[in-house]
Amino acid sequence: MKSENRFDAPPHPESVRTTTELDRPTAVHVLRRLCFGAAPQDVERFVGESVADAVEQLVEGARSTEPDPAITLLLPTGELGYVQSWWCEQMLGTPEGRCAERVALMWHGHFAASNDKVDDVHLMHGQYRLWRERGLGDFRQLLQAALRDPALLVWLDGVDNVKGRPNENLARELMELFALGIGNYTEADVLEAARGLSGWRVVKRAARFTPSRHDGGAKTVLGTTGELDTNGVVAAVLARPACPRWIADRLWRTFVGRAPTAGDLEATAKELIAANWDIGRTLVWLATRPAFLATDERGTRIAGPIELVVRATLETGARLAPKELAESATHMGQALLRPPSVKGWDGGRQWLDSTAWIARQRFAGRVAEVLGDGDDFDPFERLLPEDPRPSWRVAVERIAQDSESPRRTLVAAVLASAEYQLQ
Amino acid sequence: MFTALALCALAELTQPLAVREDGLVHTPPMGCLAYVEWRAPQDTVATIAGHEVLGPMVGELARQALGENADLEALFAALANEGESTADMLARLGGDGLALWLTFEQFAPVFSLALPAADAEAGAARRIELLHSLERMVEAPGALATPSESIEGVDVWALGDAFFVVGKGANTYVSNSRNALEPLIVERRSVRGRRALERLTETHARRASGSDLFAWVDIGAINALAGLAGGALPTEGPGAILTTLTELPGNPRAQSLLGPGITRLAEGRSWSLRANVDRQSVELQLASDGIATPSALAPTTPAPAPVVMGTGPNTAHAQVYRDFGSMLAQRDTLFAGPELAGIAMTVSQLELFLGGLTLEDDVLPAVSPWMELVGRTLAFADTPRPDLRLPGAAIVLHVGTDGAIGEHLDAAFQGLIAVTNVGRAETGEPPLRMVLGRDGERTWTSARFPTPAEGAPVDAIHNFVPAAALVGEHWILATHEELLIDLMDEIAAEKASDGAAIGTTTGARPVREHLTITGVPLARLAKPQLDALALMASLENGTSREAEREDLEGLVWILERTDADVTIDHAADAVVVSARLHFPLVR
Repeated sequence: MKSENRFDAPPHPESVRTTTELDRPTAVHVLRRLCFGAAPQDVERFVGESVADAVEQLVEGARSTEPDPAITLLLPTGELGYVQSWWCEQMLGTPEGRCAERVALMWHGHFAASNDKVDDVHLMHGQYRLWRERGLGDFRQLLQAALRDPALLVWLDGVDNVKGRPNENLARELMELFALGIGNYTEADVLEAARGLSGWRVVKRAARFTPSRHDGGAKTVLGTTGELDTNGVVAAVLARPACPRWIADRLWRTFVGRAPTAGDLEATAKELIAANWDIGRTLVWLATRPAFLATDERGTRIAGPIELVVRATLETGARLAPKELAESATHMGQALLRPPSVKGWDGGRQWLDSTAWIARQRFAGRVAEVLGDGDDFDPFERLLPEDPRPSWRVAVERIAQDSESPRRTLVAAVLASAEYQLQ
Repeated sequence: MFTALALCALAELTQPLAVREDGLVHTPPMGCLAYVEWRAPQDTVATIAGHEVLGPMVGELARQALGENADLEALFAALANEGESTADMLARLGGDGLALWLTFEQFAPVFSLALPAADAEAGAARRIELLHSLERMVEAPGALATPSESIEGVDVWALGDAFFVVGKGANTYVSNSRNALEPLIVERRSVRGRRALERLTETHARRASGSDLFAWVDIGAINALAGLAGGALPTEGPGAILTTLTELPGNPRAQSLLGPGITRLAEGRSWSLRANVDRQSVELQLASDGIATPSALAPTTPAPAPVVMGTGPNTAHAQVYRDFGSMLAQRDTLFAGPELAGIAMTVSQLELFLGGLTLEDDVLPAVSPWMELVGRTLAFADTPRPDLRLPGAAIVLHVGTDGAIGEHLDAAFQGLIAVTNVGRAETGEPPLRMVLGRDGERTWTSARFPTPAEGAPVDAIHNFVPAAALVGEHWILATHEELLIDLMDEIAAEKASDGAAIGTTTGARPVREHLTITGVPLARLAKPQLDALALMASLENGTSREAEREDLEGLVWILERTDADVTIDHAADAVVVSARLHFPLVR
């Protein structure tokens, strides 16, 4: 996995306490990292609360949110575009709902499956529901459910994994990408795990276990021997110390924005186990750490396309159609439900090739165009709360003044700035 | 000359309202690009306002049009009394008719309004009312009590730089530019203005008798203006329609889909629109006049009697002329390089299925360019009923008497299904099941997607059970087997009752394409799917589900009460598109 951080940040002193009241820049930071961003009124809701209370409200509140079920009306069209647009729309909901969507997006990148191969929007939507409904819960259950998810079974050839003809794709990604990471398993473990995961088919868009297709013989996976099936293989994987570390690493890269130090990794893995593998509790713990809150950790991570389009829409109040958001993110290199490979999106600097950069600039212009001249706010104060007076501000303001539409030019310049592309 | 319009009664050979020779006004609107004339606004407004279908429909259209043009909206707002709608204002001020025209200054639009009156006294009274409206608007009572200038008996009132009012005898003029009214104040003629007047007057004289509304657009001048402005025609708003129309003649897909009629509209020198409104119907006629080059693809023979007589529950029925044979033969002169490559690829792919026949030499010469299109709602009696339902559609081609080409087309359809199945096999999808149907002498081919499991969602793809059949001289291709069989039955029934009428030309029919749309079945189809349609629109437009649903309910409401007939008349130098909306439920 590639590093998503911009700088190799040193460990932080205990500079921010969880009892500290959220000032506006910190509230914006917390909301950006945990739920894409926020409209000004949402920011104001959290300003003045303690960090612990705010994070607790967001994450625990997220558990009880539900996505709009209306999308099931459009699944029969078979058009992925509707699901992509609808998901973007869900990301513009309440802060708690957005937190659940942010976590779902993390798992979508972690257990990356693409409709390009699955070719069934019902299955892709079903997989989204899994990340959305269980994403903040017990990771052990999430992993068990993921390995029975019809879309993932099709995507990683689990449906072709039968007794006597094991297909190792699903088992390999289970170890390499989902739960352990390279170096924490052997090739023999992959082959043996593939036997354990055999026997699944997708019938009538549901996963069905067929005993006659399953290899029920004895096998040894990661040191555990027995007539292991999916449950047994998952138990063997979860028992490895590398597993909580792998998930802790994912949480750090997603929410803190960089790889953890060895100490941070151990502490987070330990917290995950202590929380009974509950992702939500672990996220609350992580989001109240100094490393998450420290001012020099803010604006250090290149925003992914979905994060950027949703954040810009929320923070400016631009009325952009969900379809346009989904398409803009696609042009920037992140098509929802169509990750480029089993590894998902590399992220970090990989977001910024020349095509994607042009798409980001165009999106900035589009937001400014939609806002028009009527939405009166200081784009520096609102969009760059950590640095409302960047060195280039005077120059941009002068250029904007001479332009045909000063306000639009100014908003577009701020949205397109390197500072805003970071979060 | 202009066949259809020349046939119209020329009872009213008056001058256009804005330039009529009544001893007071004798100068044309200079550089006029668009001109709208409304002879009896009070009558029309009364008819529309009290009409259960037209009232809300026109109200919404007017709201949108004004919302998109701030200058025009400001002008109308200035003229309206407190709480008065734009329509009522126009009816009040335009008691003796009104004319509105568009010019440009420095690439900015200028709107001017002419309000004639029966005599000078009535004109003066109307002006006073108008000036009071403007004073109220700027909260400056008495500010316009006296003219700001008087030149040779013509009074001019100026409201800063925003509005100018000119009183000249019985007539009153309002504009957002003094320059636009200058020719009315000081007589001035120019070559450009004279030509514009001549074209406007000529077209105006040819409008149909009793037209409620007449509109004229100088397409040539608009294109020239766009050229001066850097060649950029608008890509958004109502102006985008003009841009699209100018692109149609060189677009093979548009030529194939829309035919030589609508695609030639933008080639005319000018457009004129007339409208007539009554309780039971609305008639609109758009004529594109002065087309320099006759279309190589225009109909050369009258339309035959329709094969599908409209006895079935049609949602749409069209008889259109698409001369693909001529299009193919003249492709080098009709289309540019990139399009030619696309045409060549399409032709070569189609010929793969034609067993050695060529489209250009063997197939298209045997197929009549006159073809029928049928749209109907389906019952899905013998096939899975999709969760989201679409109307079925079919095309009926006349393929000659010997049946050879029809058999080749049947075989091509079967070959296409087989090749499709190869592609599906490569991606692991289950094959389409080809079914050869027989009922007595009749045979047909259809292809079915795998039946979904009981209780599982039935995807929209099940709207398609593609089917084809040769019936006598006609070959039918339908999106659904159910529609195909219905059409086979109807054609057989027609043959049995009056065989001579099927597929024969009468010789007296005009060169006219037509389309009929029946709203009720479409409304019935849409109604149970409004939530899904609203969601689609909401995701697309970024609007709320509730707002989209409200709009759709309005559309369904209109569909339930409205049928439409559209005809396209072709002549060498002109195309006339006529639309008639019927309101069968309105009394």
